[in-house]
Amino acid sequence: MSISLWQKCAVCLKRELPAQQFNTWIKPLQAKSLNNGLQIYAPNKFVQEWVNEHFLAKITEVMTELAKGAAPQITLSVASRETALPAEQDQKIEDQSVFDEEPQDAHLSEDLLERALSDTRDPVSASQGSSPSMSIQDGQRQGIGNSTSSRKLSFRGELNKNYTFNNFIQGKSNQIARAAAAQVASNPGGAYNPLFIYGGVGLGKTHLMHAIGNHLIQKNPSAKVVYLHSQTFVGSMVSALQLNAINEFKRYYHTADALLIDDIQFFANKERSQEEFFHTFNAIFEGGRQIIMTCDKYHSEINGLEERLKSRFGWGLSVAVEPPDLETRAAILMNKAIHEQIVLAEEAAMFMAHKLRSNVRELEGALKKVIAHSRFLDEEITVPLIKDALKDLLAIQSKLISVDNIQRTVAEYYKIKMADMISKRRNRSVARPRQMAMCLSKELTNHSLPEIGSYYGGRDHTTVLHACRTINDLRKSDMDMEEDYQNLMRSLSS
Amino acid sequence: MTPASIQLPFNFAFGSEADFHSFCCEAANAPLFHQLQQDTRAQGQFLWLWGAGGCGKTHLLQAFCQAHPEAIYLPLEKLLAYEPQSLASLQHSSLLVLDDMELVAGQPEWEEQLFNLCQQLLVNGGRLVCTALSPPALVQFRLADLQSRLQLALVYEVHELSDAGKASVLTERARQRGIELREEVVNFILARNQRNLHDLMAVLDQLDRQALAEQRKITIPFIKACLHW
Repeated sequence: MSISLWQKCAVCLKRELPAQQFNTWIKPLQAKSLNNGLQIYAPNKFVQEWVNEHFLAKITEVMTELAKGAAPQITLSVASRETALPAEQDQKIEDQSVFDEEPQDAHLSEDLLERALSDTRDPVSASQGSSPSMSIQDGQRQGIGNSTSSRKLSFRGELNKNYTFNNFIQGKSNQIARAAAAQVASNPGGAYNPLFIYGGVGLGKTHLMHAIGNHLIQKNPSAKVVYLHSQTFVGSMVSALQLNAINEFKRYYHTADALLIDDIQFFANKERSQEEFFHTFNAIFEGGRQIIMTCDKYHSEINGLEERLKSRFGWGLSVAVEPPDLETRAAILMNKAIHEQIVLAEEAAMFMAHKLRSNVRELEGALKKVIAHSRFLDEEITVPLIKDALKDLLAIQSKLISVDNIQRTVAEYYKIKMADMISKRRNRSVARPRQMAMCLSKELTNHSLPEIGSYYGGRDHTTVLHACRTINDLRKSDMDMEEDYQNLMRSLSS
Repeated sequence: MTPASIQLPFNFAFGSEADFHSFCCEAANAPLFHQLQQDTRAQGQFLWLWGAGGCGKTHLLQAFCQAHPEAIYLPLEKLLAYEPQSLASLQHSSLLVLDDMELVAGQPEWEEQLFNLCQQLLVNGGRLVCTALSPPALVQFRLADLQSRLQLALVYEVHELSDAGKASVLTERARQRGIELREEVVNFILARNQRNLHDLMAVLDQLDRQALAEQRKITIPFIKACLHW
């Protein structure tokens, strides 16, 4: 009686509350009938207290109305192993439509996973600590371990249509990755399988991955292209285990024409997820279908990842995405401005690109600030306006990037003593790092050349000028020198 | 259900004065103030306010929440009492307001859950408005993925009020309590007390209580006696 009342109550609440409120607070709740009352379980203390504070009165009111005055007594507590629902008393949500939105790609810990695996007949305890959206599925379940034929396990894997090859700005830093991605998009499951795209955060790896997926769909609209974040893969797998639907899970992923997994570094130290991904990988690879992965580092450098996975990740092609150079950053900004229907002059874009070097997201955030400032002042975007809009950010940067900081970073990078930065020693092992530090000081600070010279043991401004010319010439002819310069620049400006 | 009852977590209550009208906005904060009063969606999903303690971040957040009944306001200081997975409960929020973001920095489980939440909000079209002591690039997050996603935010510094602004706020808050503070009294307090608004309001509270108990007006001699200045 109470359970069916709860189901009706949920239907009413779904109608009355905004969807996000319902999904956030009501959907996670489970109900259990007591002798003369109703026990409602929240997945964690946080949800319990919120519901208690904000919704319990409403729930009681609705139930009283539905029961025509004879509402059951409601108790609200946190689901735990001790409060597990006995199978015979398991609730049955008759109106499946109340909760039948897509299962969420809940982000669950391995700890939760272990619990789910170790006690698959205990839905409530398995849901403890999980996301509410996960636990409502448990609540709906007719006893985990029983048939799940009446239940649906859907998987989310949507491509972002805004990320295409056309709006991917190509530069020296990403041209190889882009070319490889284009090749994979034209010839999936070919020589570049898997495609492993790696590099720092916010450099466009995800964009390239979506671009491939969108291209594949464009070529073949019926292709099953599955994009998901590695955390989502973990969440889906835990869902499947809890719903006793691991075969559905496998069937779904193993039959993808292309599987695009983002940020696979999040698989580190998640053994069960790695195991499952290993089988997924094998199934897709052996079927001659395409796998594309992104990661923040080269596969052999991922700690906490099984060797067999690392080696498989290297079977195809691994390409790096480096931080964009000045011209590419400016082009990215101008492209984003066009997307926002804003006029951004090249001079203004170059100014911003010169000042902001760490990653594309930082550029995007800064551009939003500039646009907001321009709208607030109702003025065109010019360099002075950009300086005004970003003055807080630029002030912080200039505080962080001091000559002293540059000297320290360069000394650490080349493993020389700080004292060598100002010493009179002229052997190459010391002089070259010193020249690099001078060059970076000119590039990253606003100090004049004589001022910079004074920081380096009172050297003349012509020495600084010579150092800058030497380093810039060497960058063109020596790949290692260019790499050192880029590494130091990234380290200092991020 | 009142808007406030939707927004407030547990026994945490907004100050009744925390609305846009009661925020003393000087020129330095005008763009931010304007932005908060506009629809933030136009400028992306994430908005980040930062500034020193007592500069008015929480006041602005709460004022923002008063204007957006769908907002879920959560001070992380209080949320930290729960398990990190609690954040997963919030993935469907259309507008989430988190105070004191730096409190989760350096805590791997919280950072990972916060990253997941950000990802979900980005996918679901949810908005996030948050505060911290520094801009996202300078918060000591260990998870670079989290830091870079937060760098997508529209970032504003909340500038501290000038002394004239603080004097004005102090006078106005006193007036709301039925106390007339003379200019020299306000200047006396500003010259001797910590000048951030938290401390100034705390002093006003203390003086108010004491004056009420002793049935006296708040004058310089009274303040000297009460606060041992």
